[in-house]
Amino acid sequence: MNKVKLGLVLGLAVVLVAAFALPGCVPEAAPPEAPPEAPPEVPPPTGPIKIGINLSLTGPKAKFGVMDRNSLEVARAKFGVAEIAGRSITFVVEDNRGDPSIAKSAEEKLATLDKVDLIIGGYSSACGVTQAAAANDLEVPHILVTSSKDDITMAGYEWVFSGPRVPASHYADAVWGFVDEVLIPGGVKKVALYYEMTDWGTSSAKGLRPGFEERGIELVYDSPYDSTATDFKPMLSAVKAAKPDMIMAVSYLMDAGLLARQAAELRVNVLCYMGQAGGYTMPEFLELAGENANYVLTTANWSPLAAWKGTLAGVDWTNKEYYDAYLETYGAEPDYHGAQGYAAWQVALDALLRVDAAGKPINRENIKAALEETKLMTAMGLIEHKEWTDDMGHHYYNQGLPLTYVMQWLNGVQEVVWPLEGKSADYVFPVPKYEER
Amino acid sequence: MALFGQTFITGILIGGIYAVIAVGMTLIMGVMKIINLAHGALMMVGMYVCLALFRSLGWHPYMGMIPAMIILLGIGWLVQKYSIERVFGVETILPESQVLLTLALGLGITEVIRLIFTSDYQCTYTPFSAKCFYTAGMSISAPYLVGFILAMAFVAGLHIFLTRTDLGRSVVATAQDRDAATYMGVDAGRITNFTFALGTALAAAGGAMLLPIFYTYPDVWHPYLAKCFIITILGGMGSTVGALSGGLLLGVAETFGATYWSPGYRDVVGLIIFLLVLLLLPGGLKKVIGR
Repeated sequence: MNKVKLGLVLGLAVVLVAAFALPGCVPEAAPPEAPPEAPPEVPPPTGPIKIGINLSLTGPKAKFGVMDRNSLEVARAKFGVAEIAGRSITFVVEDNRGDPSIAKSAEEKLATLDKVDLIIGGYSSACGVTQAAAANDLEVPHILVTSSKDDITMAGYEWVFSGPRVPASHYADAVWGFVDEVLIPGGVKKVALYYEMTDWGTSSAKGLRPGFEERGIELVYDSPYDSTATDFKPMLSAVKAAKPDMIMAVSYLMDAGLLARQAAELRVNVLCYMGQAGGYTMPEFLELAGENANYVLTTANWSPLAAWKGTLAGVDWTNKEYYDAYLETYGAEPDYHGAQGYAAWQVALDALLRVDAAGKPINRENIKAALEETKLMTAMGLIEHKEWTDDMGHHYYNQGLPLTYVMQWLNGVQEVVWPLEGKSADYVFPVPKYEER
Repeated sequence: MALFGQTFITGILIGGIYAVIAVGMTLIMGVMKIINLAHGALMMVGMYVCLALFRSLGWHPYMGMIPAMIILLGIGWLVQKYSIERVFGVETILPESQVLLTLALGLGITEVIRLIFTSDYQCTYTPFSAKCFYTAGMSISAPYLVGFILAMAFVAGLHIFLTRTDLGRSVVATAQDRDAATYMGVDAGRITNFTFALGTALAAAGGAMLLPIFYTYPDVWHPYLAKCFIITILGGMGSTVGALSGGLLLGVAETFGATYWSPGYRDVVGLIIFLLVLLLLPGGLKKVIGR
């Protein structure tokens, strides 16, 4: 009986081995000759043209992201193009909460699940880094709105376009004229530089240091800080002890407000307090800093007073109209972040219209090709997506360079004070001491 | 000299507020012997209660502190009675499952607040927030000073409560030896519920003191939870004097680190102290200074 069992098991084993092994021993048959294939016909895209919006709509950076999204809506309403080539235009909005990992996931969702044709977004640099990388990997064209870390457009991404955005190291372009012609003759010899410690702050500081050094202005304080800290008095006390003539600060909104208030509390008197855009240009800065906002200078990448105008989709527009429309619709003033959002839609719409005008289907490849040829007047000035190298040796891809301005908070209002030809008010320099205000 | 003095004053004032937030945690850890990872989130809820009262009724956070403490006392009691108590001492798959429960509670509370108030930064600045006194080239911020005075009052009141009242002594007895306290007629279960509620109310008080000088958002509690741990380890579990000295020491160490080293490394100073105390003084300052 046992012999029978053993025989059965062995037999089964042999059959199994043969079943797996023998097919591999058979010489491969020549594949049947396939009929010549005709090139597959790509059906023209149907359904709506989907535009992904990936911004920080809640969370610490929400003020900026919401302003961007609102400005995109203002632009969409202004130019009134509801459909192109018979396809309606829809916005698919994702809130990345200002979190880089969520921003990346949102970018992937928009590209793969929602299958958008184009993505607009990126406020913080940390988010912009992950969004740009994801967009490039997934081959979906992406228009950056703000995320200004230099490296994002130095990475050679083919699918990422950065017309409305100013690289962080160029935020201070307008400042240097002001420094040379006003601050240095006015006695500025020592500067204290402090900056929030994430990508944007460190990237900005990297761009600012050589500018001061070239001009013989001594950096008597140079330190990063955590923008979520409760109090900045230890840092400001050290700044005060270093006796600078000028403060240069790179801050987000809430830290900008706290810094301005606490500098006043400690009476850190300097000839001028200069912010590098970011929180210092936001209307909410006034609310947070109160009367201490007065006399704070800031770089800005846009002003409602700039005389930019043009025609897009058969509609005439001016820069001031955007400002007025935003104010009327949302009951609040926009700053350069909003203008970047408005300009981003101008750039996107122009590209979509050019693809259609060329008789091509509106898809990712054709939108990318159109964006590469962008040369358009926008609310941020003339935008071109170019490959170029700056005097610091930074080599950029698909990068424009909007003009920058110096603004000053005077009596609760932001005024353009530099360049002089575009000024809306005279600058106040040196600024009065806190105890004399 | 003015720089040294300014740094010291700023450190002491902020350290006092740290102490009142941490004293609640040290009390809970002392009595319940559990790590309460929801403590920071409950402090944040206290901040939002004050914010809501400020927005709706115009109450300054110092006024809103009382209702916030009462509400958080109730929340703390409910959380303890209906969640932590249920897993306390119960054998589960993971040891210390109540710690994981408090972590889940903290994260859950954060998301509920995010749902109601969004993730935006919100503040309650009033003209008082910018008031300052000046002396010898140094400035003393009025809200920091008021926060510090209130913190001292809370810590002193708590100390008197724990050492001079029957209920307070029952809390201390339960912290020292739960079984012995039970044998002596103390209802350890009720004392545990009360301690958790009281610790939560104190966290709310700390949050209310922070609000006039800072701002709030749902994740605001993360750094404060870390500070509470450092202070509890530094001061020793269940000790009010230890929490006070730990808070002041941490506040001063952080500010000196930020002034003389780098503002970017201020939290590193706290973590270095944390490690040093764990390694060199495992019982905390309590062992050195006594209760």
